[in-house]
Amino acid sequence: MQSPAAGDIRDWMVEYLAELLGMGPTEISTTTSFEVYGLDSTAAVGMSGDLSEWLGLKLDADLAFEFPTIASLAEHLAERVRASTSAS
Amino acid sequence: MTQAMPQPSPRPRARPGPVVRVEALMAAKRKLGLLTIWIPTLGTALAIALALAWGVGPVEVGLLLGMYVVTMAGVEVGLHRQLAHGAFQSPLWLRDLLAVAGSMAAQGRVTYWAATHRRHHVHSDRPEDPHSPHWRMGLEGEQHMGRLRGLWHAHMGNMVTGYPTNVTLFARDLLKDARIARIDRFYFGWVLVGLVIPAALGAMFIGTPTGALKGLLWGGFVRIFLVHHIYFANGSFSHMYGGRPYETGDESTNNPIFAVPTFGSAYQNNHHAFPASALLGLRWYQPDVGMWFIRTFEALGLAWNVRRAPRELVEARRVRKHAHSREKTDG
Repeated sequence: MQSPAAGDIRDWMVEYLAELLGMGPTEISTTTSFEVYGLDSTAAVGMSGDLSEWLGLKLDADLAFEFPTIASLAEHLAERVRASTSAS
Repeated sequence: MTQAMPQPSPRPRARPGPVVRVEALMAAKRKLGLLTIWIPTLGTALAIALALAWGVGPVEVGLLLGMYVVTMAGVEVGLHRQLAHGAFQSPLWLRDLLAVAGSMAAQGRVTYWAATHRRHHVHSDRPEDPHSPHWRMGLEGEQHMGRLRGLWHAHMGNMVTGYPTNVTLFARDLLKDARIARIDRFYFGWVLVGLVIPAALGAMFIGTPTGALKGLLWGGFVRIFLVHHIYFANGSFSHMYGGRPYETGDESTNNPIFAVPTFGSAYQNNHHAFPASALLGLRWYQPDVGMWFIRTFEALGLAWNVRRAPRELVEARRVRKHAHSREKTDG
């Protein structure tokens, strides 16, 4: 079983945001709100779409508003992945 | 997608794409696109029907022309040259005024407009282009379109069937701008203001309640309809018909028919050759109304850092001395 843990998801999001925002990965804080980075709704929804493809989860489009930081979103997603893998 | 998979795939590359493939956002875009197409179309039909009974007076014509010039300048000078390409700088109040006038054209929010236009340049006439008459990203993948289908998709179809642009990827500079954000939050309000102004002026100049209706129809809906179709010809007709003096790696053309009413933007081949140039009409016989505005601003001290493609480059890069329409064989 190699389902992604919160750490993997966090790293992925750091990389993703760094690419999206044209910043270095070290400049991305996992506890800063997405809004502070100037992430607009199309990009936020796009990221949750890409995450749902990777993780095989059906995610709400506005998840990034419910969990507005990398750390909180990664935590939530890791839990969802755990729940779905143990359920099946 | 509805069933959770037991084994998530290994970690994929974390790379944001140019478009957002999420149904909720696609549905919202589809809905807004349909309203944007149909409301001015129905308003124009009503205006024509009433004109058969009432005729068209000088006030209607004046409001149509006046609102056309204001909003076309907003789109071409403000949204396009200044905000999407940074072709010149101005005091913020002038920049914002142009952005508001551009918002009244009902072509989308400022940030969305600029992001989508930059996406068009990065992926010009490739499947990721938001409005190419040649290629699109269909639900089943990349798709080459025939001539008529392509023209329709580039002209208007993309507003309904195209994928939404990833705005952060293409316009993060504008997203950081609090003044632009305020303008964008009031987008539908600006469209409405663009309808109320001609209605009020119509009532004032004609002096009857039907004057307000005439102003609303001609300065409002007919004007939006015309600005839409004429401006969207840049993406459709001016990427298919016209001269191609520059090798730009895409299908952009200089289309003289739409040059004046698009305020110069129909010189798409010039524009794709020198995207950051404030000047699009590169030859003496290519009228560039947008540049007339910018030159006027410059003379008044209201525009600076006006970028112009260097003369030598304009000449040196010209690969065809005489522009010919290139017939495509696969249409």
